[in-house]
Amino acid sequence: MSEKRHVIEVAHVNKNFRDNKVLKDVSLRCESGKIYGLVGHNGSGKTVLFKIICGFLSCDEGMVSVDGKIMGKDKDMLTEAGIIIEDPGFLRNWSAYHNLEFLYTIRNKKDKAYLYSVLKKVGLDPKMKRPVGKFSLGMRQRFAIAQAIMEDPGILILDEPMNGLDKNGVEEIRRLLLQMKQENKLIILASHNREDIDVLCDEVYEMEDGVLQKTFFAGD
Amino acid sequence: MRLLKYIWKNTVLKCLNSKMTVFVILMLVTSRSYLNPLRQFSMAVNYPVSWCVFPFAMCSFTYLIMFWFGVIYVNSDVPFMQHVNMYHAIRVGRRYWGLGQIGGICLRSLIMVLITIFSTILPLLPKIEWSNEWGKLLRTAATTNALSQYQSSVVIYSDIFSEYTPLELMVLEILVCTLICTFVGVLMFFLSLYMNKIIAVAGGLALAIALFPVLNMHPLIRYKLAKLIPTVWAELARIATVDHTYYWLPSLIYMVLFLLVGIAIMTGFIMYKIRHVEFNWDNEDM
Repeated sequence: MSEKRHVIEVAHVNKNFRDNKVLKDVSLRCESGKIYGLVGHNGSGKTVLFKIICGFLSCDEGMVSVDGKIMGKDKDMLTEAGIIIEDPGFLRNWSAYHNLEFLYTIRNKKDKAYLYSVLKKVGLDPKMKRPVGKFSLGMRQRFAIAQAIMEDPGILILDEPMNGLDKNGVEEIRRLLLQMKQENKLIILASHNREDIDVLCDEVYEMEDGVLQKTFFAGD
Repeated sequence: MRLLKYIWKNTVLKCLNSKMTVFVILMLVTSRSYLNPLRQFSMAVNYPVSWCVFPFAMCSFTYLIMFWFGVIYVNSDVPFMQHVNMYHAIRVGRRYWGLGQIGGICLRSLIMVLITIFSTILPLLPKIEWSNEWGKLLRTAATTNALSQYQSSVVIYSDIFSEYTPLELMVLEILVCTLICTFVGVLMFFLSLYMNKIIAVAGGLALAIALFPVLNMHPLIRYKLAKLIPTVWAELARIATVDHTYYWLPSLIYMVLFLLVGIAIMTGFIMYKIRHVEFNWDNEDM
């Protein structure tokens, strides 16, 4: 069980790109130990919301706080999060292991055995020499998930984590996410797949034209 | 310690990419071509040539401009918004990310200079003299027109021989060239953050192309202009050269201070901008 509990609060967030209002008065509260689902059409504002929560973008009005610290004021980046946002862009000529090792050793000491175990956990062969640029979409997605979870983060922000995965892959990743929920992680994921949302999420929100609405609780 | 580690990792990433490979090939080919007359001269008279030819190669206008075009091409990965950087920024935060990029520019500059030095030594390897003496060959080339018979566009300036030993000149050349490359890289990063990538590349190119008017001006105007165009200062082997009573370059202290202060000021502006900038990642390969 992760000892630290996390709370993300998004309060009345508005975001404009020139005249285009992308987020309209968005509010959301997320806590550890739950999976939050975000559904919505392409371009509805899900990714922008994720980027604001992570600290890549700032909001024009409202605020985002993580564990009481206001993003952009008390902290500039959600460094305790594992993320997948948009295309998983990695070093295309490097193997999966070397990509992971490069990112992992930014904050940690090299641990080959551990990184091998992370790659195995997402169904990739750790000894595979093939460069990431030659991976299939599904393999790249598994690799992106490995990158997001490898540092055992307390928060996971996952934009379309099941993209390109086959049926078995989807099952494996679902099991992995449910296990992480049991470990008291805070998980927010966006998906176009209704089944993923139904199986995984405790609370579901729908984003439409920048407006966020809660649609149902688990068990509804 | 964590910052130093990140700077080192960033440098590795900035050096292991296709742009850097192009730079290495460019400098190997250019050096081979520009130093071939010196090599032929060395073979003909059967005298070894000093290992310290890089400062003289940098005094050749076309060699110098090829070097700067290479440096600008390598630095055109600004503002470092490739997707892979998103996974760095989320791990280290904005401040360390920005400092990591600037540290990476600085170390990459040193590596580019060392690669260029290596590329000037490589074509002369069979006839290299590994000593701290200028040697007969360079002295002859500097005081006679022997080298011009081989159509050499690299000129050896004799004034420098009495000022510095080969080792001293090479150390100073590495220092100055690394600082100029860092200045150009940081300037491009600064312009890309405050304006856009195209203006950043144009700004870098403007500094490189400024070589042309500076080197072709009347000595009085050139002397004044040369104080403002750092790319010219790579011609350090001409620092002792006097042309119509004006020195070819500003003093060494002026150059180093100008570069250090310039880099420090731009770093301040960059770090301020990074605190507030919106990170929009793109799919450009690293």
